[in-house]
Amino acid sequence: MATIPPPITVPQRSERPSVSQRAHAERTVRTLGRRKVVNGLMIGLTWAAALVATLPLLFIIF
Amino acid sequence: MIVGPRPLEEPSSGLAARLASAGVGDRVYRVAITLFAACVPLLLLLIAAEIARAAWPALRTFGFGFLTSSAWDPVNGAFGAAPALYGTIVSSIVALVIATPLAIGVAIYLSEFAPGWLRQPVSFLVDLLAAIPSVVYGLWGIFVLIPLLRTHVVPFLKDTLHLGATPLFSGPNYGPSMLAAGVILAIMILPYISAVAREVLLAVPRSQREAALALGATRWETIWGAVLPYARSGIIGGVILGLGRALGETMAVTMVIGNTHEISSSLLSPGYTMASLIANQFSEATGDLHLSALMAIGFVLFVLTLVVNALARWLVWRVARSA
Repeated sequence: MATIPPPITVPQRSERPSVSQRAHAERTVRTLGRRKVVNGLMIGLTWAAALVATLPLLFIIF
Repeated sequence: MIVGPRPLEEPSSGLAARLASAGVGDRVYRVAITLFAACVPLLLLLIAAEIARAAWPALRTFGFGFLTSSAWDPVNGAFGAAPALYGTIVSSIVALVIATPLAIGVAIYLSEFAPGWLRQPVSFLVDLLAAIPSVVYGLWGIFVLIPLLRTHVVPFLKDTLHLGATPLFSGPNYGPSMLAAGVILAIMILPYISAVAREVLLAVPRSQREAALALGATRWETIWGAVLPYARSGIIGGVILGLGRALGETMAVTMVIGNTHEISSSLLSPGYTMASLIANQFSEATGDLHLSALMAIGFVLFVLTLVVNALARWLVWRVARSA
């Protein structure tokens, strides 16, 4: 005889965020600007690295 | 007329003979390729044995002191490898310090950010650095790099950044130096590290990136927190592969390092590497002990390069297995 699986109970979502969730959200908002700057800076550095890496060959050839 | 399946026949004597001859051919082929494969490690062992045999008189005469002595006096028969060993390690470290961040930056850019139309040309240009003969690097070093270092870079380091007070940049700079050798080596090993790092980064599963992005990470945080840790062993393998290349490089280094058998803490001083010492003196070595000392330096270099390359292969293999 096939057994019927127990019904899935979805945990009730509270109306208000918890203290830790609120702290996470506040920290995200607070650090977002800095993270975006770091992101742009590091992507720019990788671009600069690619540019610098191609320079020796161009210097040698020309 | 209906044609049915042909009844199974006993193999004719011709077919049996063909099968038997094919079996013999397979065996001969297997033995032949096994012999060919065995030739490579055998050759390596023969080279090591021959160098060790030729190096034995010097190693027996000087013992472990050969590696720590700074003497190099062919007239009085006093030989020590310390300055060459020091020069090899320092110039390779300088090369790694310059090339590693640059190569990883290039690899990240090419694997993560570069638009499709730019990826191939930049990869090609960087990879092409590996195809330039080392003597061309040496000439370029003499005529372009050394004057550039002497007139612009070193004054900037000493006067603007005030690094002249530190032991690393103390003393005058006459041109050929450990710094010039390190920079040349950095350019030479850049394509090797970059190529390995690029392949390893491309092998990182897409799910790693998607998971990090789904959690709200920026593109850089995704690379820093999810992609680079996954590819760490492979990138280290590439770096060590570059180190192995830097340790053994001869011609370009010989042309720009200054070839002075002394240990100096300053990168602006001339120096020697093991490979350049052998290249410079082998044809002029007259005494048996002199020749044996050069072979002993070759043996040390051989062992060092072998260990470094084996380590690199093992690290790359570990990443490939886990991917």
